Amino acid sequence: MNTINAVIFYILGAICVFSAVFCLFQKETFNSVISAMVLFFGISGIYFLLGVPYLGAVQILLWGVGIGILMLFSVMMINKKDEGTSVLRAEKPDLKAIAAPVAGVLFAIILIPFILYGFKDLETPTEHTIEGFASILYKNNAFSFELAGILLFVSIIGICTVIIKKRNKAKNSVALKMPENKEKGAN
Amino acid sequence: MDITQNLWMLLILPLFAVLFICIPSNCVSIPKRRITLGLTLFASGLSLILTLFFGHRLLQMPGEIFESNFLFLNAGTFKIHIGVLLDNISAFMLLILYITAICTQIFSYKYMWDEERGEGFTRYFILLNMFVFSMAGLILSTNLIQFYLFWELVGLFSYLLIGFHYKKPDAAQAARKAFLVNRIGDFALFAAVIGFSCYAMSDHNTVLYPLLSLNDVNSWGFLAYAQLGAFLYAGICLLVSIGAFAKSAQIPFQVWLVDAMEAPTPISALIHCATMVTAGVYLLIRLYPALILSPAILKTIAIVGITTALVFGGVAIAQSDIKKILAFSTSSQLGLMFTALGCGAYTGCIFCLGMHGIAKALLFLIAGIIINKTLTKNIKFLGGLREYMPTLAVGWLLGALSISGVFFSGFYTKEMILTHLYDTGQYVFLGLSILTGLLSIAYLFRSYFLIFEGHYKGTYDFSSDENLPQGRFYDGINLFMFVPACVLAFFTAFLGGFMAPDFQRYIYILRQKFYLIRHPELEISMFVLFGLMIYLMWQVYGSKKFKIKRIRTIYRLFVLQFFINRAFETCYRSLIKGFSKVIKTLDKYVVEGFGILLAQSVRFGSYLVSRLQNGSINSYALYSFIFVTAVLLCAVIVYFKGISQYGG
Amino acid sequence: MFELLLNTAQNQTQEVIQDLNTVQNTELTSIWSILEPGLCHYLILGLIIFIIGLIIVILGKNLIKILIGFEFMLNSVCINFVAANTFLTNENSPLRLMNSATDPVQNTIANSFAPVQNLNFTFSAPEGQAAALIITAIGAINAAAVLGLICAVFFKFKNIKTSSLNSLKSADCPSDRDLENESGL
Repeated sequence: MNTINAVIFYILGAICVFSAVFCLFQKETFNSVISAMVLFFGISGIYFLLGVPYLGAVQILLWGVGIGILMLFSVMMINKKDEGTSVLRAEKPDLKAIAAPVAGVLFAIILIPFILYGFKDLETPTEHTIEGFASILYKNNAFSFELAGILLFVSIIGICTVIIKKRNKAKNSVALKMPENKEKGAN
Repeated sequence: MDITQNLWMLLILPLFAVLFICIPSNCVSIPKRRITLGLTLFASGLSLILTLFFGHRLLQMPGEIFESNFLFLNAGTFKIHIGVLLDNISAFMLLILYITAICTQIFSYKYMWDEERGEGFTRYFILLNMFVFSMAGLILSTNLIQFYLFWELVGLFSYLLIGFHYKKPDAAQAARKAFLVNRIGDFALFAAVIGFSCYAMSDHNTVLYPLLSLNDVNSWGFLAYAQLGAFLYAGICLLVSIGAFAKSAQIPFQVWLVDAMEAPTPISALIHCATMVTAGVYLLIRLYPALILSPAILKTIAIVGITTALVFGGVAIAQSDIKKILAFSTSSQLGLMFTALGCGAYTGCIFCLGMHGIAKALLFLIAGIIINKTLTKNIKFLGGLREYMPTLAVGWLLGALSISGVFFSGFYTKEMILTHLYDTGQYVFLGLSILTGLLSIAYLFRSYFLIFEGHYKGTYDFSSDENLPQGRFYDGINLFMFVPACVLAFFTAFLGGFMAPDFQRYIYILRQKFYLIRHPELEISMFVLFGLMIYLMWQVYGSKKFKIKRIRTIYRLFVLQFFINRAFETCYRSLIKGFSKVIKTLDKYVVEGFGILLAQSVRFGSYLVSRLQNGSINSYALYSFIFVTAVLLCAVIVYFKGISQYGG
Repeated sequence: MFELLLNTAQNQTQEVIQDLNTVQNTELTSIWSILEPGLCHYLILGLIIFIIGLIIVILGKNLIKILIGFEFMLNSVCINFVAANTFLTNENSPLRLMNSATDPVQNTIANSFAPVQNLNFTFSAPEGQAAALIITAIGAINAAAVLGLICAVFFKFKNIKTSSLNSLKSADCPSDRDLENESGL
């Protein structure tokens, strides 16, 4: 058991480190964002190893999906080329042929315990952990967390004020440009 | 009357005179001038009467000392007192001071008559009174610190009086030179005072006596000697003696006295023979019980004294300015007094101080009358004044004989000194002192013969002088000038003989038995030698039988005071130049440079810091990261230090 | 000679095996036990990710790259918190089962290499997880705020290079030599 613990730790650790280094050496922004998402998934695995599966799930949800997708959308919006993000170029070898089978194999591996043991009575060792965790969040230190929530709410308002003004000006500037294009298109 | 009050009046009377003289600012009118003189004479006269009164009481009660102290500065164990100490020595010195002061004041009433707009007249009398006050303070001082205070005051007022005619550049320069040379002595004396007060303080002294009390020199002198050891104590005594040398115009420091003849003649009469130059000798007299503990210093004083006496006796022979002759004579006679003190003739020294003062003042006043009449100071243009003003000739002879020790007062003093030297077996000093006597006869009689004998070579027309009819006893000299000279001549002639037999009753700090004419062989040989010298002078200068050839180089050596004057000037000039160069460089490079350094360093610092702002936000992020890490590291270190110290 | 060496080697290994057999139900004593993940391993992992994130922040020429690096740093901190939570507050942790986890003699780095023995986690003080959750939430909002600012920068400058945000550059600074070098990190 201990050796499997060590092996899984080292694999996950390797995934984390290598994806981080990979992100460091990327030229394209999009690629770096994707490798960051891989890192987040790896860290989620670390959390599962450390006996906090709840936090692992939260990590996937918030970081991997939430923040990752957020950054992806921003990168796609902010792009030098007018053609939009072209992550994959036509001349490069097509990785879709390799990626799909690999993903299918991994999915099959994940399904193995469910197939073997069925979908019932999974002993979640998280009962005790979630009770303690929730008591901190909602019972003992609830006040500080509510304050944190208010802080986050205020920051959202601040972001909106920063963004929406600029958007209006951008819309105006875009609107001014459009008749010119139409004229060019007509000519 | 209360004794303490009278004591303090002795000190403060001249100050009152000054106060009232200051009220009418310019004494232009005659009544104002009379009032000024009257106030001055009142102050001095009253002081003289008080001195005589106290002196009489002191004579009747042997061992009595009048002392009154006022706590001036109180700093815990260090206290400075100002007070009045009247014992026999101070009574004698005060007597001499006030006799010469009164005569000088009366003399200068007429001498300073022609000052422009009367401003000089007032200023003169104010300064004169202040000088008398400071000298009285010096004589009556109870402790060495007060002594030093009045010593400096005396120096200040002598500077102001020497440079009285300050518009003349010569007088201004002479005054400056006097002040600076005195300053050297002041510095030495101050160092000595500090040295003594460091090692002479003990608890009981400040309760009963002031610090460094001159009444009780034995105690603190011995205390200092015990703590310092012979060598360092001799060093401090050497500093004291250097102070005395500078004030009394001994061998390296005589330059100021010679140039101080730019002062008005009555000032020379008061300051430069009777009072200020005797302050040096008075210092050594007061500190004699302390100086005895280092016999090497006493020997040094004696050697310097006799050297001065011989050198300047010789230099005086070659001078042709009346006042310069008298200046060198003063220096020489003071050297003789220093010798007497150094060899142990303590009583003789004090007596000589007084008698010399009176006789020299007489000579200066006579010189003043001559200068006033004939308007020349050079004896080459004088001569044959005996037929016009014979009383002056008599006075000059009186003074000359007294100073050289042949007759009258000076004889008793010289005899005291020489007898002591003969008794204690210091035959070298005895011989040299007799040689000094011969030299003094030489220059004094040379001057007498050149001024009063022969034919008048000057330009003043005596025959048309309406004030000079023959037959009147005062010879047409203004009475204000004549009477003081007469008084001084009287004192010169008879005061010595009056006081001599009982003088050891006057001074008994060191009781010295003195019998008149103990060694007839000494007296007879002295008389013979002096008579020969007078005859020689008469032959050379009087009847011009012989002519002494002048050897150019030796003559020049004597005339230029053995080049000491030039040495002083060169030293002074180069010192000032060098010092000013140093200061200038210091100011330019160090002080200015410091300001420039400050400005440039600030600028450089700001340049360095502004280079940190390189416009890339990556580096800004790095800086904030480093800063936060450093702060957290400090916090962690403090936390763990706290744990290790207090065990968690 | 060679056989002698081999015999001695065999004897030594037999001795080692006997020693190992005498040790039962104790912790691993072989040299490879250091590879078992203990507290230190997780902290080192966090440190590596933190350093990489710091490098991305320092060397990134793109504003979004800097944001990614910042998120890396936050994640590493979360790892540290959760690892500390597991190893120091878990009631079944061997670190805690020793005679007090705060004893400075026992609580050394060597001991922190001890692994988690069983998966029966009972946290007595799960503040570490709470901290990780809060850091996550704040990190998300932070990312949103920063992305909004990046959008604002894009609307003004039409690009998101860090070199376009240099209006606070001082005059004493030398001009950049690598404006053309955009192929950096």
